[in-house]
Amino acid sequence: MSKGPQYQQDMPPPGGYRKFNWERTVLWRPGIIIPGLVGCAVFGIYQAYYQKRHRQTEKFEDRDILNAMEPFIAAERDREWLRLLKKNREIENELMKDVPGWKTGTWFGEPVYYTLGEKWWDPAQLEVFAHSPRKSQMDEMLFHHHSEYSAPKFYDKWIPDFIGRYIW
Amino acid sequence: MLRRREEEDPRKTLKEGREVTACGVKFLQSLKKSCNKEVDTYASCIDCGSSKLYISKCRPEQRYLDQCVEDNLNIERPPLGYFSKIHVHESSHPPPAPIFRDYKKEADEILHSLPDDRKMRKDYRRFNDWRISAFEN
Repeated sequence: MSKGPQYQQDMPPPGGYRKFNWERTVLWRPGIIIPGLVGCAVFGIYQAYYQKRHRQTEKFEDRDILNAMEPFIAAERDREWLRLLKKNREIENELMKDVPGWKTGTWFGEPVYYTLGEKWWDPAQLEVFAHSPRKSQMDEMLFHHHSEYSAPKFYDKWIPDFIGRYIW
Repeated sequence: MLRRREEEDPRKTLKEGREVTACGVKFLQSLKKSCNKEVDTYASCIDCGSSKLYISKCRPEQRYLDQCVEDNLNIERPPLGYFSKIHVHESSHPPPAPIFRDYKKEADEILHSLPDDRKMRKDYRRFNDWRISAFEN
């Protein structure tokens, strides 16, 4: 290989550079920073693990409590549901007592569902709210839980009613 | 009681539902009579502790309540996860018998009993199971 053109390169001084004086930094040197970072990472991993476990236990306990409460809540819900349906039935009786050939809960004597026979089937939303004001139906449909502060805020007094009734 | 409800209709389980609620109410009344103070501290701790009603923040109060209930009512708190495990109960009622109806037979009976000069309704249509229609499903 023939020699190329000669350049003057900026090389380290003969004997190399002198060693870095870590004494002039108060604390920060490789022997401290690297174990520090590794320690932080390990601690973070442990913390994440234990926090996840704690969260999981929390959710598990909540679900456990719900499972335990289920019979009580279901019994109360059933009673309330049947009470509402009975109220609807009475209103229907009252309304249609002069119509000839009408049996409540059926269409002029014919049952609404053919294959059901004696089985129980929950009525549809239209039937349940047939005798209720529209407001109760919209409340039921648009209700949802809020995870945060859900009382009126300062600007609610300026929102007109026809928008405001659908927002909160 | 819950099992019964899964299989049948709510009207049949009203009696059991009442018993369940009565039992719950009795337990709560006995709690109020014996451990009222601990129950109040525990409940207010959960209520006022966070918006999400965390229970893990109120462990000391829970321990006090458990101790009090054990002393007074002799009821041990079920371990965590008791209600998430599957429990098999023996019930005094047999499982409900499934009803199989023969729709063709019923339809035939009705059709045979009609007079010969019966008129079909104007809006009748034979049920075509295989037909796909744009407006009906």
